[in-house]
This record gives sequence, C-alpha cells and structure tokens, in this order.
Amino acid sequence: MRSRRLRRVVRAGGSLRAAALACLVLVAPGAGSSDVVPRPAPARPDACRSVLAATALPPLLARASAGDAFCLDPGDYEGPLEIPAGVEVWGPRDAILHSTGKGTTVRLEGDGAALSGVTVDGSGGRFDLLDAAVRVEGEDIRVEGIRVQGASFGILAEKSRSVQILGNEVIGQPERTLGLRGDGIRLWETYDSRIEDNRVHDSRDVVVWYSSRNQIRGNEITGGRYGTHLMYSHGNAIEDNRFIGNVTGIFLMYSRDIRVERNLLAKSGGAAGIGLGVKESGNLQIRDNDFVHDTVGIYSDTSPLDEADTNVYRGNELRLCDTAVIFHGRASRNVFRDNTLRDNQVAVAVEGRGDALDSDWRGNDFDDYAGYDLDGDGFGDVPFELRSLSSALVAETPALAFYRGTAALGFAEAIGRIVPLFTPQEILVDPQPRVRRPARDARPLESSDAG
Amino acid sequence: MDRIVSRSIYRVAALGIAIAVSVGCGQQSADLAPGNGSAGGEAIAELMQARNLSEADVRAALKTYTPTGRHDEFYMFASGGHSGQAVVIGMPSMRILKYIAVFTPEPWQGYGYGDQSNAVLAQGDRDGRELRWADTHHPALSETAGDYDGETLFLNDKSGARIAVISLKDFATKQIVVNPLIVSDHGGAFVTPDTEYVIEGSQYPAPLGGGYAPIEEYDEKYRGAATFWKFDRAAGRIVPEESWAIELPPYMQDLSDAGKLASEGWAFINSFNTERATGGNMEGNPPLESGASQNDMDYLHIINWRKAEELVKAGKTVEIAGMRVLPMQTAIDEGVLFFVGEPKSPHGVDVTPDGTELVISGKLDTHATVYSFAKMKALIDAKQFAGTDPYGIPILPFEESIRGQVEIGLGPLHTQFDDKGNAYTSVFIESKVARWSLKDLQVIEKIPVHYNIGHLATPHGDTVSPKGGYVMAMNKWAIDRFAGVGPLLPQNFQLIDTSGEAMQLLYDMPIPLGEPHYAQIISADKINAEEIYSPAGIDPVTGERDPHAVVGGEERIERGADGVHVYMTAVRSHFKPDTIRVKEGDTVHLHLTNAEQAKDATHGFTIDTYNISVSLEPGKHSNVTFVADRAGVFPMYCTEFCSALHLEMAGYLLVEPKDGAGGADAAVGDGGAARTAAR
Repeated sequence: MRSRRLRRVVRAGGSLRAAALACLVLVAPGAGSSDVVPRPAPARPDACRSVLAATALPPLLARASAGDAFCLDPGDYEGPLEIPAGVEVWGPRDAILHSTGKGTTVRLEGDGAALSGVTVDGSGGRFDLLDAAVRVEGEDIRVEGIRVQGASFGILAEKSRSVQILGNEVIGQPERTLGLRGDGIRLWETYDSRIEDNRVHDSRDVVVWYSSRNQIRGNEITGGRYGTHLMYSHGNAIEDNRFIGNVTGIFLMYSRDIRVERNLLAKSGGAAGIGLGVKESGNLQIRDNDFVHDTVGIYSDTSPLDEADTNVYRGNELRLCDTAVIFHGRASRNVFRDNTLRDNQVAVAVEGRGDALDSDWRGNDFDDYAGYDLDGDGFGDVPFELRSLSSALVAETPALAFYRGTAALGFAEAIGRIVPLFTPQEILVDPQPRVRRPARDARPLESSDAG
Repeated sequence: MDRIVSRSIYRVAALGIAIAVSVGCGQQSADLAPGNGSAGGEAIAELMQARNLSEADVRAALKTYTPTGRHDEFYMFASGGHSGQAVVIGMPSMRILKYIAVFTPEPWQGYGYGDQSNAVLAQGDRDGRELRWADTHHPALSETAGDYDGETLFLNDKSGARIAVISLKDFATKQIVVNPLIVSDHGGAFVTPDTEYVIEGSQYPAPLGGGYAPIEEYDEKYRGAATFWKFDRAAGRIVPEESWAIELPPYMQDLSDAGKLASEGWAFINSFNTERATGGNMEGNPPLESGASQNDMDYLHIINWRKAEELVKAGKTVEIAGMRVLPMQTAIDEGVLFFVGEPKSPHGVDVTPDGTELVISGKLDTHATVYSFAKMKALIDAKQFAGTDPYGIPILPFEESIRGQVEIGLGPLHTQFDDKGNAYTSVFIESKVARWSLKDLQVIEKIPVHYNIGHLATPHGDTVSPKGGYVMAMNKWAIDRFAGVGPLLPQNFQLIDTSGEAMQLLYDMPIPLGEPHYAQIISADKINAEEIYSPAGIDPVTGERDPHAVVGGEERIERGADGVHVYMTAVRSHFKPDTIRVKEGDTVHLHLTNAEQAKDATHGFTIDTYNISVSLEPGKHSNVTFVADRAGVFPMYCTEFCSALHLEMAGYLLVEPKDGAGGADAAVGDGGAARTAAR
C-alpha cells in the first residue's frame, strides 16, 4: 500500500530526487542521513573470574562483592539473576541467560552493577508486573552490548541516575501485534543517563517518562509503535537516531527544553502515523532532521504551551509525506527556518479552520514556490504564500490527494488564483523563500532566529 | 474508495464548470453558483462571502438551525461539572433548555431558598458539614431493558461521594444520598439494565466508613468500594437500607459500566494506580502521577453483582457506617470478584450494545482493547487464572480474555456506539474522534476536535439500542475557539454529524459553567415532562399536595405558638395577602401556592434583603421559614415578568419594632446609625 501510494506521487509530479530518497529509505533501511556505526563489543573485563557454561550463577553472585567481575563462557545459564552493586557479568553473545518463563530475568539494582555482552533470552509474560529481560534501578549501572530476545519488556530503568544503556540489541516480538508487545527500552524516573547506539526492533515503545537530562543518541528503532515517547521529561537530547517504520517516530508530550537533531524519521504510518509529534511542549530545538514518507511529518498540537516558550524547526527536510506539517490549533511562537518541504501531498495544514500566519517562516524551500530570484542570492524576490485551493479541496475531501499534481487539480488551482470567488484561505507566508534546497550547514538567517 | 474518488472527480469537474460560468457571466456568477438563493435581498453566495463561510459551513448551519417553534430531536443531559448542576441541551440545535439545580443552591429555581429544597440539599450534608457545591461527572438516565426510558436522571458528586436522583417529570432534584463508606467517587452513576441498582464506584482509597489511618498503612487500611444503591422505581427514590457494597483493594477505581444482555448481571470497573503510589513528592517519593503510571497494566474489576446480591441477602456482609459490605475475602472465596489486565492508564470501559464485549482504552496507549465477555466467563468458570493480585484476587490471563485490539491513535479514552456497527472513541492526546468498525477492529476515519477531548456521547450510545447520527465531542479546553473572557475559559462541546460517509463538524458550543465530563443523549420522544403541577398546591419534592397548600379564598395570616403562618396565593398579578404585619423577632412561615394552572405562568417571590428567592411554577407550593429579625419595611414582589402588571405584583412585609421604638433608623443598621449621627 505504501509503495503504491509512493508510485502515484512520483508519477504525479514528484522529482527524481524524491524518488531516489524514497528508494533509499524503502530499499535500504540501514542508510539515511546519519549512518549508525556499530558499537564495538564490550571488552572482557580485566581480572575477571571465568565461569563455565551451565554454572548456577545465583550462588556466585550472592557471594560476590563490589569490584568482582564474572566472565561467562559461551553456553547456557539459568535465570533469574540479581547482579549486586559494583559487580559485572560479562560474556560473549553466545553466553545465554535464560528466563524460567516467569518474572524478570536479570536485575541490576545496586549502584555500579554492570551486564555486558551476553544474550538474555526471554522473560515472564505478565504485563501488569512489567516482566522484563533486564531491570535496572540505581546509579551508575551499565548495560552494554547485550542482545535481548523473546522477552515481554526489554531493558527497564526505574528510579535511576547516570545509567548507561549502550550498544544493545533488543529484538521484540514481531509475531505479536503492536499492542501485545512490551517496551524495548523504558526509562521511568531516570535522570542523567545515556541511551546510545542501541538497536530496537519490533518492540512496542521506547518510553522516557518522568525522566530528564538524558542523552538518546545513535539508536536505531524500527517496526514499533512509539519510536520514543517522552512525557514530563525535560532537558533531553534526541540526536542521530534512526526511526523507521514505527507508527510514531518521536512523540514529545508535556516536556520542555528538548533537542531533536539529525534524526531520520521515516515511514511513520498507521492510524497515528507521525514522524515527530509535539503536544503541549516547548523550548524545542528541532534541527537537521529528515522526515521521509511519513503520514504526517510534524504534528504540533498546542505547542509551545507556555507563553514564554518558542519552538524552532530549522534545517529539516520533509519529503514524500502525506502532510508535511500539521498544526492542531494555534501555530504561534513556532519558528521555521531553512527547512525543505518537497514532494509532500500537502505541505502545511491547520486543523480547525485556522492558519499558520502567526508562525514565523523564513528561508524555507517549497517545491511549489512560483517566484523568481533576479538578484541570484538564492532567495525568491517575492514572498511565498501558501494559499492553495487544491489543498483546501484535499483538506475537505482527502481522497482528492490521489490527484495531486494532475491536470484536474492543477486546473482548479490555476482558476482559483484568477477568480476571487474561490479565493482559498491563506495558510502561511514565508517572506524570503529559497529557490533551491539549502545546504545543511547554510544558516544565513541565524541572526533572526527567535530560538 | 472508488466511489469516493469518482465523486471527487465529478466535484472537481463541477467546480471547473462553475468557475468557467462565473468567469463568463461576470456579476451573475454569484447567483448561478450551486446552492444560491436570495432572502431579504441577499444571495446566499454573498452571505457566504461576506461572512467567509465555506460550503461545509453552510451545510453545518443547515443541519443544526432549528426554526422558531420547532423542537429538537434529542435531549442531551450533561453533568454541570463543578457547578453541581446538570445541563439539558436540545440537539442538534445545541440550545440550552435548562440547568437543573442538583447539589448547589440555584435562585431562579428557588432551589436552596425554601424549606422543601433545603431539606433535599441537607440530605447531602455529611460529617456535620453543609456541602453546597459538587463535582458532578457522570449523569445516568434510568433504563428499562437496557435502553433509556426517560423517567429518572442520576448524577454523582465526585468530591463528596454522593448520588442525586432527578425526576424527568419536572426536571427537579428529589433526593441526595451520601455514601457513608467512601469520601470520593468516580465510577458512578451507572445503572443496571432495569435500573435495579445505581452503581457508584469509589475513586481515591481511604479507610471505609471514614476515620484516620496513617498513609504508611495504605496497603492494609485504605480501601475502595463499589456501592450498589437499590432504586425503588415506583417511588422514584434510592433506598439506602436496601443498598450494599463490595470492598475493593486500595487501587483507584475509575469508570464503570454495567453488563447488559449477554453480560447482564455483571459490572465492570476500571482502575489505575494498582502500584498503590501515595505521592509524597516533598518526602522523597515520586509525584503521585508518576508513581501511579509506573506499571504497564492496571486491573479491570469484573463483578458478578447478581451473585453478590444473593450473598448479601444470605447475610454474608459486615456493617460499616450503616452500610452492608461484602468483604473482599468473601467476594474472592465466593467467586464474585475477578481482575484482568488493562493497558496503559485505562480510563473508559464501555460495554457493546449486545453486551458481548467491552471496549477499554488507555490514556497512554494507542490501542483500544476489545474484551470478550464469553472468553472471560469461560476462564472464570474454568478457574484459569494468570495469578492473583497482592490481595488474592484472581487475575484472568490478558490475551485469552480479548478478541483483539484496534489501533486508534494517541490516547484513546471513551467509546460509544451507533446503529451501524461502528464505535466512536475519543482520542485525547491527538484531539480526535475516531470512528471504527466493531466487526473488523479497523479505524474508518478520524476527525480533529478542539481541544483535548474527554468523554464523547452518541444518541443512546451506551444502551442496547444506539441511534447514531451524531457524536458529541466533550472537549476539555477551548483555547482559541471563542472570544476571550479572561483566563477562565469555557469547555467546548463540538457536535459532529456521523450520518454520512465522512464525519462533519457541525457546531461549537461553549459550556461556561463547569467541566461537564459526561453526557447522555436520549430521543426527545422518550421524555414525557409535565407542563404544570396539578392540582395546584403540589410539593415538588414529594409530588404530593402539600399539607399547607392554599386554595383561593382561604388565604389568611394566623399567629400560632411557633410564629406567624402566612397562607398566600400567587395569581396574576397579585399576592394575596399583599400586606404582612409581624413583630420583630417573629418566626414567619410563608406558605406560597401558585394557584395558576396555565403553562409557563410562573411567579417568583422575594422579600427585599431577607435572602429569599422562591420559584412558583404553575401549581407549585413552597414553604419558606425565616425570622423577622430586623424591624422595618420590606417590599416583596414577583421576580418573574409574569404579566403586563408584573411590577405591580408586589406588597409589603411590615416588621414592627418589638419595643415600639427605633423604627426606620434602627432598621437600616450602620448606614442608619451614620445618618442619625449626622443629624
């Protein structure tokens, strides 16, 4: 269905570049704006105690003290385990910690505990008890380079600080429908932590709730529901991640002071298909992200909420989306600089019969800009006004989107510009639109940024 | 899809033709455009242009405009939120028909300004404290065989754990009952299919029956409860002594619904905070909202109330604060109480019209989960449980209990139904209404609403016989939908037409009274309201003729041991007697009968400065008791513009000083004293 719609769009007037970018996403999900470099496997700790396969680990761990490290040989081990404070369990990927089918498989609930390298296979199935492969609670706890498979929840961190969740692979349960899977990674009441270079496939959500000042960087999250869902979580950075094929890439809710930079948000589809959703959140810096083939690229609902806040969208590229940007309600105190909006069925829509005239657009690149650049400075000499009759028709009758770019809607569009009776509602004005796509590092309008 | 597309082609073609015609014909174009007409010299197209209206706007106007004298197809009964009232709205015109005074004094209706209505309000007092406001959430219309019957309306008060009974004969409050077990409710009012019971579920746990227990003993001593208030249909009253409750764990019980048809005899109550978080954010604990949303699932409470009723009759209860309570352990042992997991901060639980399934949505979920009652019942019968909660209540396995999940969108809350097999779910985080197929579990369409929708309502939408055609989105925020009125904004009801292939927003209605939460919509032909109280002299609370009712010719003033009794009639355009002479310090008993039997011939009655406001609808009788504690001259008059001689419908209360001195200066208090001093 996706590819069929894509073909329609391309045939209907999309550029070759759009097709190429779409192919990049569709054919090679590992490619994009920010390549993920696999993190090296965690090194075997110095002076660790080797453990033979099938050894019962709980008695060893019960006697361990801070500073001890256990290096597992390849093989199978029975859970559940509780790794004490200051103790590390290391192993290669083929050292497998098995769930008994009940409860959480590995618990790291003392400061400084670490789990690295191994595979954790399974967990209990009780969602009401949050049965997980790995549960973390404490400070300076590290979970690095492990693989999680067959578990209800992947890696949970609760009431923790300075946790490192690095380079892990969480394989969800693709055979189950989205609502019946657990979260791949979940932070709850967790602060000052690093979630980096993980790959999360086919789980439900990556959740960051009531968790502030965390770095979510370099992860690849695919085939889930919420790629990353922030709620009441402030001062977080979400950078260089790849969100592909999730229902919603990133959703920011009731959160402030968030940086979202250099992420790829692609193929967000379904009933709530959104690349980046923002609800009642403010002081956001949304920069240099690629939104490709999302049902909705950016969805801004009553954001920013606080009168003193501004949200800045700069250098983002939105392509092949059904709608690139939707404002639900007011659009004020949103700044759009140097963004590219090309090959989308609808560029910008405002739900509830409003407009985005009080948002601040400058230096953006629109594919349907029909102006000129006589002085050759790269900016059009007349403002770009989004005042599209066909957009109005499409907004009222979504099925007409099928004809976007065709002669029928083009005729309506052209006539609509001539006959005042059909003057459609003005949506936005960019007084200084670009005539070509801006380079990522070109920011000539920096001084006028409100953010 | 093909049909939509082909229609769209025609539409574009028609548009092109219309444009071509308009270009060719110049000024005539407006009159030739589709839908044009003229009235009062203004073509519709000109009006549209002048007011910047689209075709969709005009269609919406045509679907809601109701000419003078024509009545609405539906009544909507909405809670009045913090106002403690209920709001009656005609639909689709969205004309407000009445605010029903329920928990709060309301002077126009004389509610809380006379003996009878004061007595109703006093029924709602608790702990020796007058409660004169309420946080009303969920109105419930009485049902017969699972459908609204238009006889009675019930309304809860979350803040005081109370239920009110309102008769739809005269749209007036008849009774308030206080729940002695709990101090806050939420899952109420909900009625069983024949209104045998009005269900009231608690919200915030506390020791049952009141009293203190340290928050550190929350797990052991705090409890919830589901109360089943017995309703006497003939009397139109709740019967507290025949009512009973079930003890529940200290989770925060939330919304409820009663089973019907296939699931009749069962009740379902959502919960959150099964984590049993108690807050303490200045005592080193996470805030309550954080602690309460830590777990991925909470528990739907499944209660076999028919069986519980038998146990109550068999005496297996304990008495707490005068209420018979089935202990939790008994409910477990006897197979009355079960749980099943429900995802991500659940809120609404809504039984499908045929009673076979339940739709539950989580505020932080994107799916609605459809539970199969037959599957759950089979699991219960087979005693097939996934485990128990910390209190030993059996938990059904989640996946074995459901038919499936619908991917609705971000933050689904509540679900109602239509007559075509569709369900409508409010989507809070996205601010949308989703229409989806109950059969296929697929979303058909979503429509944006503004903003932050809570409940929604469709005509008869939670009964065995939903009507369809409309959905009312009850939005928590209005933000920019209406002209500014300062920082406190109204809520926003949005009426949506669901009769066509695409849902269409028809009307925005501000509700500037309180947060209404929930509403029920009933066909107007189900309401059989009385037009007058007949015969004259009816006490509206009892529905009987008041012992002090006055008939014309028998008006009089009598002095007795308990004070002065004034037997007065009101008829256009006089009170009789129109002069009342009493002594300072007398207790005055006014017995007021509106002797008229004509529709809408309502009088009001007040005595200046005495804080008296009586509404005297045709045939109504009110008693008012007060102490004439201030000597002076006090005009009394009719507060309703009842006739051309309305202003003349007046008289005097003459309060003679008890010591024969003082007079006017003494009667006006400080102002008089100042004036006296100035002489």
